[in-house]
Amino acid sequence: MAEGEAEWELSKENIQPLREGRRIGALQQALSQQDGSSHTTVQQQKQAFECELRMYTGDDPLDVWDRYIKWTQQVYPQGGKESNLLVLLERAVIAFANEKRYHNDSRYVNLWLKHGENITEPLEIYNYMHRHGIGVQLAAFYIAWSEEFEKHGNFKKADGIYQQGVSCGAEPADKLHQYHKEFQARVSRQVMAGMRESEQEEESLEPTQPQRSSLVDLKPRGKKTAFAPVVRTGATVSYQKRGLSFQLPAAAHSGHNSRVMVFDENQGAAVENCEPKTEQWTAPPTGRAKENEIMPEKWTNVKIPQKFGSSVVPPSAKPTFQPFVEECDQPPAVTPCKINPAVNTVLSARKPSKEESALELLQQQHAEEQPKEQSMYCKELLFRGATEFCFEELRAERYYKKVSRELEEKTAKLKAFKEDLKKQVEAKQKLLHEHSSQMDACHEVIPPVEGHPVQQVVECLPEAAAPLPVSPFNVYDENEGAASAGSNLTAPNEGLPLDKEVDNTVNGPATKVMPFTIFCDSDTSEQSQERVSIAATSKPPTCRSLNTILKPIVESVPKPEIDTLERMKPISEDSILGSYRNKTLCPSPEHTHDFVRAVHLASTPFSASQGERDFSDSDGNLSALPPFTAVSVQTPAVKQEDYEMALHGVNQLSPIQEVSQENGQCSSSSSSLDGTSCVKIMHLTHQSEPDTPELIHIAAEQTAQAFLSETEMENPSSADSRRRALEKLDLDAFPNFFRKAEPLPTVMEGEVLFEGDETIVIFSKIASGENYSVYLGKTNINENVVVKVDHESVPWDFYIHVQLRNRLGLDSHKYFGRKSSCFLYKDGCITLHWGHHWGTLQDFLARSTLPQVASLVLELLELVQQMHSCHLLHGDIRPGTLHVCYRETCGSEDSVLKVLDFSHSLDLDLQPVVISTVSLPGIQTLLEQGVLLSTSSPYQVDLLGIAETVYMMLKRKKMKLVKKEAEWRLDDDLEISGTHDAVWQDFFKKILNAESASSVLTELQELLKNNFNDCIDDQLTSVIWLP
Amino acid sequence: MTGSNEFKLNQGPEDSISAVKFSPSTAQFLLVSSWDSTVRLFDVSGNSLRTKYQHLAPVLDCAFYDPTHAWSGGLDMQLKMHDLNTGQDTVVGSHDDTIRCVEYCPEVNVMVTGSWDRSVRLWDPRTPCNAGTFSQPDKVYTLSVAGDRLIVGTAGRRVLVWDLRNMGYVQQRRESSLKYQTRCIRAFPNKQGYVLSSIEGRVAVEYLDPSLEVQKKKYAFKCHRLKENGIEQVYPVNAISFHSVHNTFATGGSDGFVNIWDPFNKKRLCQFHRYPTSIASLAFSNDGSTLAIASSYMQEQGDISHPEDAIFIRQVTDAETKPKST
Repeated sequence: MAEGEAEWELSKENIQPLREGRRIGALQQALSQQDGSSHTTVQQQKQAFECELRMYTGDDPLDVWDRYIKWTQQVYPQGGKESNLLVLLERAVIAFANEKRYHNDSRYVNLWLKHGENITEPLEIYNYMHRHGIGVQLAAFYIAWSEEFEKHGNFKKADGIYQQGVSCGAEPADKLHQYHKEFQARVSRQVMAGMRESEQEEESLEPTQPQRSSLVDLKPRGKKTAFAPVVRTGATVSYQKRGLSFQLPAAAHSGHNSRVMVFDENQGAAVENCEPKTEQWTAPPTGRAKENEIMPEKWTNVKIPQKFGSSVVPPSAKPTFQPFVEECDQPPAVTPCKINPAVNTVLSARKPSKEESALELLQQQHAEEQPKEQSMYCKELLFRGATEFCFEELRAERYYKKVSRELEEKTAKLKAFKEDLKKQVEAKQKLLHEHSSQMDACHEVIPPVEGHPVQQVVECLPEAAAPLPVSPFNVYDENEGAASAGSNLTAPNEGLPLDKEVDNTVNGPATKVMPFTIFCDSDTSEQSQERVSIAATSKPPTCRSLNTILKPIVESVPKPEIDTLERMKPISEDSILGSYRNKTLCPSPEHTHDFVRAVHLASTPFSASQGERDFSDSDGNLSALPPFTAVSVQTPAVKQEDYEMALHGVNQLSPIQEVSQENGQCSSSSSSLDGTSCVKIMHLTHQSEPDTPELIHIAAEQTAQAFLSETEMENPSSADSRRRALEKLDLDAFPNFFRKAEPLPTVMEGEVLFEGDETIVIFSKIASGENYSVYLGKTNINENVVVKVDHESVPWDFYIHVQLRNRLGLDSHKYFGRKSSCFLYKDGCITLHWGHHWGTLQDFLARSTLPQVASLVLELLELVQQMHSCHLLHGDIRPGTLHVCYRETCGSEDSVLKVLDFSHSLDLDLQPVVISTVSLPGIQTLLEQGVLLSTSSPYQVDLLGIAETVYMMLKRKKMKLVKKEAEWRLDDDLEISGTHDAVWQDFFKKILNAESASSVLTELQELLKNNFNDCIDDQLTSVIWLP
Repeated sequence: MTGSNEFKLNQGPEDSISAVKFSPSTAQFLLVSSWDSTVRLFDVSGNSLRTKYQHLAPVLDCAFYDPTHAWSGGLDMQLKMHDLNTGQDTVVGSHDDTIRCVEYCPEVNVMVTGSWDRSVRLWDPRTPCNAGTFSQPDKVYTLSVAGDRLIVGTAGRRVLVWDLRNMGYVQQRRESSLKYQTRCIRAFPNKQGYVLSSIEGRVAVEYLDPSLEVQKKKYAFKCHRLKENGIEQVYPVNAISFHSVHNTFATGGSDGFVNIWDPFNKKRLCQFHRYPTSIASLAFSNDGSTLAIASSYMQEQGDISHPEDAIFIRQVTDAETKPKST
């Protein structure tokens, strides 16, 4: 505040005074914003006014102008060109010059008077106004006119103007009178003062002590540099009277040089009629009389001819010529603009146009006979305000208006609807209130829920919700919706007998609060069934009135009604209550990480799934359960997008891609984006098979992809989906990752492999799978190394290994090896794991017996738990994929068991959409057996893998499972050592019937530690030997 | 009315057309923005609609960044980038008011937008992100790119020439040599100058080189005027498009005529038949073989009934577009 005040204190000289005063707020704002050209709010407001000027359709267009001009005065306290005030005033007065109804409107007259204040010859303006009857009924006009004469010292005329005003009956009369009186007082004071002065001067001929008068101008002394005289009385005082004319001093001082006859205009004017002459004005006088202006020149060279005596001849009474008005051949509509000619004079070729004033413009309007040219556009609209508009701006305004009008209509409609409903609800409540006292019994009796109204509510839902997405404003609130739904329920029964109404109103309040729950709540259906049965079997004798209502239902409805409710149940649960309730948004809700991610998923805006749309489309056909609901229930929201995309894949096929010449660009552009499935696939096919006819190929791929997605069978461990997942990552950023352009080298037992700096002698093939084989080798510096050769060019193993290292830190060394590197070839990849490997567990088991299974199992459990803790899934735990290392050389920290083969692993962070684990090996049989459900957590796959492996270790044969008493058990009773059989039984019972993977793993570890604590320890070292 | 060398596009926009632009690589694809809030991609050779995408409000201009990416902006103030391959929409950024023009400058690899918020903004199309905001003296009505120079036409008949490589200051400030509002500015493909059209039936040919000699060559001429009952009706000249090879240009006015001009010999090369309503936008294909003509009423005379909006595709010959050698 203080600052603002300071601001205004500092720049008083920049503020033009306003008759009506200035708002301090606007003033401060204007002053504080002086610096930049970015007065955005001011510009916006200005733009709004400009728009309003053009778009105004009401019956008082002057109002907009008036407000605009007043606003401009407030916002631009300095005036100046940028305010465009003069232009605005000029345009405003011209715009309504022919509007008779405004001629005595004080606002319009004020605009004229303001215009008059801003030009050099306001008297002409007043003459024009008088001639055209503008403001002749208003006192303000006469006051302004008279003051102008007074300024010129023409008191007689000024007085005449007042008299004329009075005689014309200008309003308000008392104001005019007051001003007139004040004027007369001023004049008489002036005359008196003049008389006294002349008396004094006569007296002052006698040497009297001259007196200094305060606050008077002094005549400066000195020729070159002026300074104030020492003596400040008498002649040195410059007699310039303020407030009154400057011609007066001449008369007042006539005593000094009485010999010089000074012409007094008043004398000449005295002969004249006081009445202002009404000339034949064709136009209001110009603001700037250019032809009369003297060009600036050197004043020192100018000599004024001095003539004494009666050389000054009083001019003839008054020139009778018509004011000259320039003729213009072009209608001026050019927006004024300021171009600095100093920058590039040569570029401004067009001669600056003649300045046109309001008067000239008006004159043209009068003189307009037959225009030779006609502009074929709404010129007056474009150039109406102070700034110009283009067609598009006008159109945009129309568009905005239309939009807001539509919105208003919609709001009004909704409001009416709401009020209507409110009334209905009130009526119902009233009825309820009236009857509640009489019908106490009704509390116990829940009214029958008829299929019809329920259905209607469901139907009305999409309808009621429809305006929501369209209207950007939040007009519709939930309570309204609720109210509407609630009362809609009761609405159809309005015409029914009073008794029936009671029932409905009992139901009313409940439905009003929670309109939707009633339909999906299974209680309701049960209750209603109960109700019906009650009604059917035992007609309550207490409620005589109810009987009559229930009768028709009892007779005809019961069966179909139950039907309806049953049919509706799934829909209402899935769709009305929110179809996401049942969705497993996170793979494992126990993990906070998953849960947090799921929250994010749930809060992301959801594009309606196919199932939902089906529902809304078929609101009439409610019984049809959306065919996709079952699928979408299991599908996390993220997947939905891909899924939809794939579904409509053919439509969304790039509209320009089919053109072969652009293919290169297409693929490059698509690879720059983090991709969506369709395009990626196309991209890949381009790469691999550039010569095949693309169109067909793409289409085939598309449909295949669409089919895959549709059935939700997409294999998360398929090479394609992995590739896609990995494409989001910058693999090259990982250490020890190398890309090679060559094809995969052949790897054979007993051969030497050159990888980067390493030379590896391949010893033996230790495992193989569908697309890969694992070899054991030795480097040239005698390090053991596991070589995994993958025939898919997806460095998945390496990726998982890197992830393990990243997510677990140093812990990962214990179970997953210390070092790995990867070489990606054109058609495959080779992953190397360093470590003291011996071979797979499978081989180990084949060659030796294990005295200490428990230790290994403990390691296995911990290993799997570690993987799970960082959202990685092994997916294929079996003796064939587990590796055994030498303990002696590994250091005591490292485990004997290691996992180096991640062929079937899944990264649930990278691929959060893994739902179906169907693809994992061995799962099919488990699924068939029912050990694993398609919906169970993917982590359970690993649990079963552990069970299988442990069983293998214990019994050296495949595990068989049976279901007994809703629990999975081993087919045989474990008889191994005898002492720990019970423990192992317990172990298998827990692991096979696990609810949650993570908790079970901890539990099992506890179990084993407690029972084998004596033998689990360092003895393992002795167990492992080199065969 | 339409001969063998001309046809009307099917499935055109449902409201007025604001801009038509050909793909930089082929005459097959035409991008069309419209007041119906859509941007459409047409396959001209197949006369079919390939794709379209939505804005929140009418779209005033669109441009190709490369053959696969369309940029557009309009009354919703948002600048959108649309991947024509994937159908992916990206809102790159926004202005404080309606976006009036969108152009691509291949020399500097930058997208340029002009807005009624009195600014020009540059956008890096690779990231994509805003690469600078440059305030203009008034609302931007039109802009064009000549090599690495940007010519901006604003309200108040101002013309500003910027150097896109150095946007620190305005290279040239000019006043339009025409007396009335600037409707359209298009740069010569040879980057020597530009053509400016005004709202009152006039076109000016101007040169960028400020030297006196070159400036002497500039001129202006009247066009798109019809005489009716002794009154000359003056129409706005809304659209200009250059033939990339011959440096001749076509102008389209609200009178529904399209004229092709030879700026070097100061001759009109040809005039096509009168189209049903105002010519809102024109576009020569990159090879100059095809001219897209958007005949669409722009509410110049208010919101009144008018002939149907349509896009015509016309095959043009050298006879129509090549300067006559004297």
